[in-house]
Amino acid sequence: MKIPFIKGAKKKLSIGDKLVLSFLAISLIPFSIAIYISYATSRKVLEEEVANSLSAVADNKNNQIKNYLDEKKMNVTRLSLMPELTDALEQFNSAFAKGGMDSPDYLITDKKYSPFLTYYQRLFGYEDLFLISSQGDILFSVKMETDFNSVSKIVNRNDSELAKVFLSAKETSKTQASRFENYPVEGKTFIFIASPVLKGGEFIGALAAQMSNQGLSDIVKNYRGLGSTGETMLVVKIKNKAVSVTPLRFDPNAVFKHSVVLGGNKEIALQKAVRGEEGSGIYTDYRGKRVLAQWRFIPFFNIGIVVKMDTSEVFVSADKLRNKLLTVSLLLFLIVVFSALVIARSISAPIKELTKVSSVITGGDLSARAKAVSDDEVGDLALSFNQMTDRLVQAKANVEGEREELKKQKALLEQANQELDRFVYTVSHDLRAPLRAISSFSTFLEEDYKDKLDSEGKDNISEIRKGVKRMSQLIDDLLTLSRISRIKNPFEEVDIAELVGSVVERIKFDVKEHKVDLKIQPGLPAIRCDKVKLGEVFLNLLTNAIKFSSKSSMNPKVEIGWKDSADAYEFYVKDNGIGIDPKYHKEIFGIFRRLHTSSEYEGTGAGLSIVKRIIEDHKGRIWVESEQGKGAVFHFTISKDLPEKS
Amino acid sequence: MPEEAGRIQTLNILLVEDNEADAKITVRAFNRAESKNNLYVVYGGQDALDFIYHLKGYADKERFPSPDIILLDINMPKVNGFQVLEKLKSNSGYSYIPVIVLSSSKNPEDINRSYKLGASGYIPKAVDYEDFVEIVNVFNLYWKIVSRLPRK
Repeated sequence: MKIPFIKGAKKKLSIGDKLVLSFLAISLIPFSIAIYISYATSRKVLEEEVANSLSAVADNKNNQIKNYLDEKKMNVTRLSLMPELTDALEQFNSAFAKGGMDSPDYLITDKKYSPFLTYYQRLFGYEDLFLISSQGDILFSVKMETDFNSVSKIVNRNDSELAKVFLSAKETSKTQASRFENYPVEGKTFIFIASPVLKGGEFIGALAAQMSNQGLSDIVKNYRGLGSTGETMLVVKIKNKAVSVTPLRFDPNAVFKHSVVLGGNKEIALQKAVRGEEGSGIYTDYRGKRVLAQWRFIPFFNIGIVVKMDTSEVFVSADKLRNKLLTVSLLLFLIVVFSALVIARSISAPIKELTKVSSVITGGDLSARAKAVSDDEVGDLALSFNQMTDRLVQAKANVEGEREELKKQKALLEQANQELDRFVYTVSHDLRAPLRAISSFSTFLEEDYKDKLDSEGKDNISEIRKGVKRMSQLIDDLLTLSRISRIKNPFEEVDIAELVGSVVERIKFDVKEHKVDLKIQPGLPAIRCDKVKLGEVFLNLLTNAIKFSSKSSMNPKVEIGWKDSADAYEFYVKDNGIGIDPKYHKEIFGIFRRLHTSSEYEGTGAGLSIVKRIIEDHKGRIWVESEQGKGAVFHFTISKDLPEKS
Repeated sequence: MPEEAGRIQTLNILLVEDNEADAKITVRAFNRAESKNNLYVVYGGQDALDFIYHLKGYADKERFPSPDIILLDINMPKVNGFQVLEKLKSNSGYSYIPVIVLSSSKNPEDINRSYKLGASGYIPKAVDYEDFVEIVNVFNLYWKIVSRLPRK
């Protein structure tokens, strides 16, 4: 299910989806079960009820038919026992025996009994009444005048139902019913009922009644209690078929035309009925419709009765119930989905709002705030989200403020550094002129007043000039130091072997003078650095090494080497000089730090601080390994990862 | 005016120096070097230009002859040495005169800039007078004996 107001829920189920599904599951699963159970139960109850009522209707029909037939049978029996009938049979018998049907005696007898018999034939509703001699001759028939051409000896026609029933009655001395017999020409179906007539316990003949199916058809055609599809079918067994003997509700011309072969699978109820079974069930009728049926059997007449009704009608109320339940289910489904959507929206809309706001904030707009619509946990979430954002804004402002402050301070510091450098440069520069004046004019004094000055005066002037020279050196160093921080040369690829070679060339004189054993490790690398400044580094370190080794040792040794470490080149300058007490290892890199008087070792003490500055410009570090009297090794590194400019 | 070739020349040198003490030291150093030079001193960049162009108080060409060499200080108020150098070298009538910068600065930037602007030399002023005298001797040796100056 796609919830339109939640976007971006492609793979995962959104809260809305989950809520709707949960609602559906929670509400519909038990509801469906309840509906199914109630439907199944009511259908069964209804079925039973309908089956019961159908059964009642069937019993009723059965009784009606049975009563009707019993009455017909009983009337024949009763009539056969009447003395008038015995007399009539006797007299017809004797008259027939004397001269047949045309004899005067027969005519007299006929005249005498005909009204009596005709009366009963009409009273009981028979088609005809027959008097039959014990030999099987038809002695009398009510309709003889019209129908019978001659009295025939019916026993000779034993295929006739009348003959069969006469013989059966004669044999059993009981009232018997024939099978139904169809007369296609007349379009009529008849049944014969025969009763033996006895005089003094002796069989003297039989009374037979011919009965049409009209009465049964009338009963069958009464559809009361059978709805719009129910009906009663009367069937008899003829040969291997079950044949309808009354018209069908949906086929009035079915008499003796509609039949079902026994043993087949069609209209089982009919087959079972003619076999004498009783029962109920559902089968497909002659119209191809499913029907609920009850079947019975009337043994005397060998008639099967099937009372049936279409299941669609039987279960119409069950189906109505089912439809109602389905409608209610659908309605409930819609209500559940709708309320789930509403609830989901009420939950997910603020969350979605929060998500939107947070993505806006993530995008950089810290002014966005979530609307706390609902007064629940989600509302609380929105509130604390807003608080968090407020704090974020504040924290960001603080950080920015601090950064701004740092920037300012950095700028101030840089400016101060620059100013300091300029100051140092300018001062040093301007200090030179007066120094020169002091130096020169003291020299002029010495020259011009040579004769007037005693030796102490001359010494004093000499001290002035020494002081000036020393100060001049200090100024030179200061200038160098300030220039090194002011001037940024581009880093370039420099062959250190070549660079060291040029530095050694510059101090060739010192090396020679002090007989220094100078060793340079072969294969010094080519690295990126500031060539001029790095030259300064080697010059300073070499000069120091020579200076401090040449006075203490008869054979001063100085060694330059290197090794490759992970992210830097590490160089060293080693000497066998006076060494440095470890407690001064840090201090020596400070500006103008000297461990010795200038009379012992010349120099201002600016060299190492210049070296340190240069090394730091190369993102490296410098340190010394040394002990008093055991020489010193100065190590320094140059980073392999340098920017374009120092 | 330069003497005949092969003989020691007497040079007209114009010293441009705003610092009086420095001027005195320089003059004395030149005298001490026993070189026969005519040293003219002016105390500012504008004066130097006026002198060279014979303007204002320097119109008298007998008293203030055109210099053969100019010794020029850089750090001067108003018109500094670089400006003098620039103007002189852009004036075809005077650009041939060798200008030697004489400065307290050993700053490579100053040195480079001077040569770029057309200086013929750059001499850092020595603090020690004796050293300075040495320098003047070398200067004389070079400009008076070794080198040949342009002819007007």
